[in-house]
This record gives sequence, structure tokens and C-alpha cells, in this order.
Amino acid sequence: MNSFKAYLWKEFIEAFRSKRLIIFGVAFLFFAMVDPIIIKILPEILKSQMGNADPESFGFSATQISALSTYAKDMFQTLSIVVALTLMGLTASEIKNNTIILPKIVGLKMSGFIISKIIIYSVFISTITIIGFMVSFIYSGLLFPNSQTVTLLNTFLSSLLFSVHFIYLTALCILFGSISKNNVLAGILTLVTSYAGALFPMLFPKFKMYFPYYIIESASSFKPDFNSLKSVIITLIIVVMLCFISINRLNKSES
Amino acid sequence: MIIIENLHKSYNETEVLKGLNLKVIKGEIYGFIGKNGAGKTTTLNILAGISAFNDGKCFINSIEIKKGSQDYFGICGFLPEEPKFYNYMTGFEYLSLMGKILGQTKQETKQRNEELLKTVGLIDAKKKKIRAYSRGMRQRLGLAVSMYHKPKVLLLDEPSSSLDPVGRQDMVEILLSLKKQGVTIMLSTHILSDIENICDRVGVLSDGKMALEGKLNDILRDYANPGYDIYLKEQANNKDLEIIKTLPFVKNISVEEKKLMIEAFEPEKNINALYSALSKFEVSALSTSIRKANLDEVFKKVAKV
Repeated sequence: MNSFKAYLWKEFIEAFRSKRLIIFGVAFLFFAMVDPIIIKILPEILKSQMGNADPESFGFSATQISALSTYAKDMFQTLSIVVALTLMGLTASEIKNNTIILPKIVGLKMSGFIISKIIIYSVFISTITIIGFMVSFIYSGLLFPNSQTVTLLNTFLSSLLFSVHFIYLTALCILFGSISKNNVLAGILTLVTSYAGALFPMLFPKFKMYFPYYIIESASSFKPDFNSLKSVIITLIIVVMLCFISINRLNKSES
Repeated sequence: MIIIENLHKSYNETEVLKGLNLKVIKGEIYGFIGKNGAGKTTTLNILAGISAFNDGKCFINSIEIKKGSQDYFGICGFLPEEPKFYNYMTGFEYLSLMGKILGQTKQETKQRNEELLKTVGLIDAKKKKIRAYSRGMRQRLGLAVSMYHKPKVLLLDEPSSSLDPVGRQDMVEILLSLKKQGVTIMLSTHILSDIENICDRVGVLSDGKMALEGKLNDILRDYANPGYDIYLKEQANNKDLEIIKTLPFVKNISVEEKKLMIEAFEPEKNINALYSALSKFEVSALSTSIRKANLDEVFKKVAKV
């Protein structure tokens, strides 16, 4: 327990001083604000490019839900990259730079080391994800006042689902970092695993709710259903397993 | 106490330790020397529990260091050759992290931090970020960390390498004071004068094995060549050489034109007897100097440098 508490404090300080939180805040809020603006001005751009044709005639609609869907897409495609690249050094750096040696000698337990990281970044990323979605909801509501087809509750639930996805990414960064001891490789493997995960629901559509990617599908629809709860539980079980494997790996590896 | 029995360690296909045996007695300061690549750092890393080994046994205070076990962490203190820290923290904060790992209260942590920072001479830099520390300051902070949990065994890998002469003197004083408290210290260093100043016993590692181990004085007596260098006005004749040979403390004499090189036991103690013998020489002596036993010679001889 001492190791956990000690490293919870250490990770809290590090998240601020290493500017990781600023990067998350800026990236998440940037897309939260920019995506609604893009959807707002896109019809005008399309009209000017297509000789005043009505964008709605080919399926494009400038509404709050399209703004939030765009934000959800950016969450998965772009902000996953931000998260993976920002957190890729969580364990890899500590092992490569040997900063783990002295604390280990004094008595640091690897379980406290890993669990503190997953908890701190789960809390921070979840908070920022929820704030991002709320900002996007409010701003797109202002930009598209007559088209509110998304409820605040559903937006909040979608943000929670995305939070689970980012917790999963964090656990992947931690695991790949502890195996590869290389920041960049850990980041790349995390992204490859996350994006490749989109294939499984396509290959096994009957079982799609049992894969982590279903969280993204469900969140992006802004109508989460009961099946998304199954996907959340499976994902959180996977996160716990990834943490156990990471702890086991670090206990056995040479520093 | 530290015991190593038949220790083997390989990196890929290169065997670094080839059946190392050594023993560090409780409460002593043990100097561990050897040329670069001999396996000193590897040995200390294994004892500290941060490196695995292929075969053999290691014990620290009767606790066996087993591959993959974590039970012995916290028993010894370890200062690696280049200690690494969280550079965004201050020295005080880093020590506080150690205090938290040990489950200390805030008050205990503050007290222990202040005490250690004073001991290693970093009290004025306690609020400075570690990224602004010099190499010597990092070494001192590393020493503070290695002592934090009051271990009974201390493993130090090149503790003085980045320190200036004043810092090295401080380090020597700290180690001697720890010895008085009953701490067993094993240190590896290339600064042989530090070994001569503070170590009780010495081990010389060569080619992955212990080439020589024993009490410092015994090693210097048996392997170094203390004695005298005497410059004469002319080359010594046989009669003069016989005078020297009869002295009981003389081991060996070699002549190089007008220079006499005498190997002798305890040359400082016997200098008056030598002067007395020189006064009977037919050839006058121009100068006499004592050649002190030093580990340099032992190192070159035994470590195959």
C-alpha cells in the first residue's frame, strides 16, 4: 500500500510537471471547439465548391449530432494518437532511464508502481474526456440551436465510454512499455492494437459486443445500449489482466 | 555479511562472471577492484537484486538472493555508478518519495531528509530541481538515498567518481562513520587511494573471477613492493651491498647504475636502521626516499593490466 500511495503522489506531480495534462487538455478541448465550427462552415464551403448545390442532397447535415459525431471520430482516430504518444513512456522511460532502480532498492513494489499509473491517468483522462464532450455538446448546441437531437445524458454516457477506451489505451502503453522498454515501440504497438481492434467486430459481428471496439461504436452513436455495458466489463477485465501481466513482467525483468 | 559462491553470469554468449567467490565480513569496508569490464558492476547489480544471474549463490545477511524474488529489497542500500532520478523533482522531494515508499509519517520524512541532506552536503540545494544538479551533487543525493532506510549493508559502485577532492574526503568520512555504526560496506572504485585509506579488506577481480582477496595490509605486504630508493654518488660496490643484505627487514635489492632499489618490510619504521647502514657505506648516498606500498602495483600485477 505504501508503494501505491507514494507513486500516486509521484505520478500526480509528474503529470503536471511533465506537461502531459496540458497536452491532453489542449488537444481534447481543441477538437471539442473546432469540430462544431468545421461542421458549421462546411456547408458553405461545399456550396461554393459544388456550384451552390445543397449539401443535404448528398446526405450531409449540419446539426449538433453531426458535430458530436465528428468529435467522436476525432476521439478515436486522432486523440487516441495523442494519448498513446503522450503516455508511451509511462513504463518504458522508467526502465530505459533506470529511474526505477533506486526506488526498487528502497522497497518499491511493482504492483504499487503500475496501479498508481493506471489510476492517476484513468482519472485525468476520464475527466478531460468528459469535459471535452460537455464543451463540444454546449458549443455545438449554441452553433446549432434548432437541431438538438442529442441529450446531455447520452453525451455524458458516450464520454464515459470513451474514457474506458482511453483507460484501455493507457493499460496497453504500460504493458508494451514494460515488454519493449522502448517508448516509440510502445506507442506504435498501442495504436496498432487499438486500430486493429476495429477489425474483430467486422469479422465476428455476432460477438461484437464482447470486443473493446464496440465501446467506440456505441459511444459514437450517442445511444449507448445494454450491450455496451458488456463491452465495458470485458474491456475493464482486459485492463486488469494487462496490469497483472505488466506487474509480473517488471518483477521478473532485469533493470 | 555478504557471501558469493561460484557466481556465474553471462550476457548473451559472453560470460562475465566465471565462478566468482567472495566474502565480506560483517562491519567491514570491503574494496572491490578490477579493470574495466572485469565484472564489478555486474556483481554489485546482482547483489542489489536488480540483475539476474545464471548460476551460483548469493547471500546478504544470511538471506539468499533468489532470481525473481523481491524479499531482499530494503535490506541493503545501493548506489549505482550513475544514479538516475526524476529530474523534475527537487532533492528534498525525491527523498520524500523514499520516505513515502517506506511508509514514514510526514514528520519522520522531514527529519530524515534534513539529516541526510546535511550529511551529504546538499542541504542548501534541497529546493533545487535535480535537473540543475551537477554530477557530484547527483552522486551525493544517490548516497543519501542509499542510506535512507538505514540498511545494514551498503553496496557502492564508484561512489567517488564524480566528486571533487573535498567531496571525496566527505565521502570517506561518511563511510568511516557508517562503519562505526556497524554497517557493512562493499565498494568498487578506480580511486585506489580511497581503498587504501578506508578499506579493511580488498578483492581484486580479474577475468570474471577473484584473483586475490585478503586484508589490505597483508596484500600490500605480499604483493606491493614497499621499500627505499637510494641515489648514490657512484655505483655501489659489493661490500656496501652486503651491508644492506644483512638488514633483517630487507627483502630484495636491485641495482640500476647509481640507484639502489630496496624492497623492505615496513620501510617507515625501519628508516633509522637503514640510515645507520648507509653511514657504513664506502660510497656516499645522495638521497634516500621511502617507496610506499600502494595498490597501484598490486592492481597492475594481479588484474593483468
